[in-house]
Amino acid sequence: MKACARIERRLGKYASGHLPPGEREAIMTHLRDCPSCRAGEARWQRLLEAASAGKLDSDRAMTGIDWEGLAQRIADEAERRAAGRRARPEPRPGFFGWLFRPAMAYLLAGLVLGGLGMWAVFKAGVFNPKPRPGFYASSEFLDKAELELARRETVDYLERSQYLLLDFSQTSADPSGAARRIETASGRAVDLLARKKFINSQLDAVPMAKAREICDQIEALCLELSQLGGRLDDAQWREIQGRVRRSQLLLKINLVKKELQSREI
Amino acid sequence: MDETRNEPRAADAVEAGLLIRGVRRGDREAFLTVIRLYQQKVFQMAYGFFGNREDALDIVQETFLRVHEKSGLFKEGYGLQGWILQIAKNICIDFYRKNYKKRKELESRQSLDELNLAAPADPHSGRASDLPLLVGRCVNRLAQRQRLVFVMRHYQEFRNEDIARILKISTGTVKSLHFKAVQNLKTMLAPYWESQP
Repeated sequence: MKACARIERRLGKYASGHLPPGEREAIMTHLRDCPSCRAGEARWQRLLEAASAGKLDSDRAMTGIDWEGLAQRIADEAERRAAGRRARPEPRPGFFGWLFRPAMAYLLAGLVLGGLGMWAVFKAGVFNPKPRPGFYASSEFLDKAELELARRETVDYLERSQYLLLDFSQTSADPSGAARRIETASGRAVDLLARKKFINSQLDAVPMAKAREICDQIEALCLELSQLGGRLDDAQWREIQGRVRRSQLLLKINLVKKELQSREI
Repeated sequence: MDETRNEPRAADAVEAGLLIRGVRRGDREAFLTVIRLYQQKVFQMAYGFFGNREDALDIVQETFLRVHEKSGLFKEGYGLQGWILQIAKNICIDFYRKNYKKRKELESRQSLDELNLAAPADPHSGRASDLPLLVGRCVNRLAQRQRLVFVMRHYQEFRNEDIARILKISTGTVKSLHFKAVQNLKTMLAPYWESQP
């Protein structure tokens, strides 16, 4: 049965004569022994014979045609058309005709060159400059940076104040160097006042209550020293020294400074 | 060549060159010779394609008019018959697209019964020769290229190599198209086979 199925698939080619001799022989041998496949082959033969009968039909259709008359008619028509083609004036060159060919060539060349130029310009990035490398920082980072700045400025202010107060409390008001020392202390107090003005905004912005309080006390003292200037007598000198000692300002400054330093970000 | 049909023999390459040069010069006798040599072959091809005598005659006329007009394009050394049949084939396809496509669509919608494919072969009823008629109708329902190959092979008795040259395809493609055409015809004629004893 398998062989029959295979042969049946090949019967069309066999009947049409499309098979190589070896395969043809094999099918012929099979057909001798297999009536079913023989019947299939007979159908193919009938079909092909019927197809060839179409030729007879076309032969029948050809009978009665006056071939010579047809040839003459065709020749007449061909000559008539040829005469018409010759009589027809040469068409004027259109936009794509020879007259406009140089212009078209220049136009085409211009387009090509322009296109290449534009391509080069765009490739060079003239119309599309590269973005400058920018700087971006998050708000969190900026807050931290501000806090760190305020902390450093405050520590610096406290250190300077500490030195001033140490100088002031450890020296005696002897008449020989009094005027010079008072002058120096007054100048440093003015400098500290200026710095305090600068860090005020930072102390406001950043929550540092203790540092703010100490800095305010130092500011008040510096203000007093700067106002007294060179007119500071011995009694006033001792009175200020005593006030600094009683309020333990130096100790407080030291503590706050240490605290700020330990909180380094 | 079949002598019984009294067809003139085809021109060889030298004769073809002479004839075409004559046509180019406007020699009427040369052109008439070309027509006499090939008009019946063109007719057979067109008749096989359309199955209609009037259309086939129109195709013959149009083919030779185009041969006359385009004779300057013929390359000498090539077969004149192949060139003319190529022109005929192109005209057949154009003509088919213009006039037959709708008709074929209508026909393809018809059932096999309507086409009377299963008509019994009764010699007394005048239907003994139904099969060739049915085959002719089924050939008209084949795809364009399959039909061309089938017609050239069976109606015009061209060899596969000649068909390949005329249609500008390979011999293998010709064989394949012919086989497909025959297979399709077999499928279309299945009701007829089933009705046969």
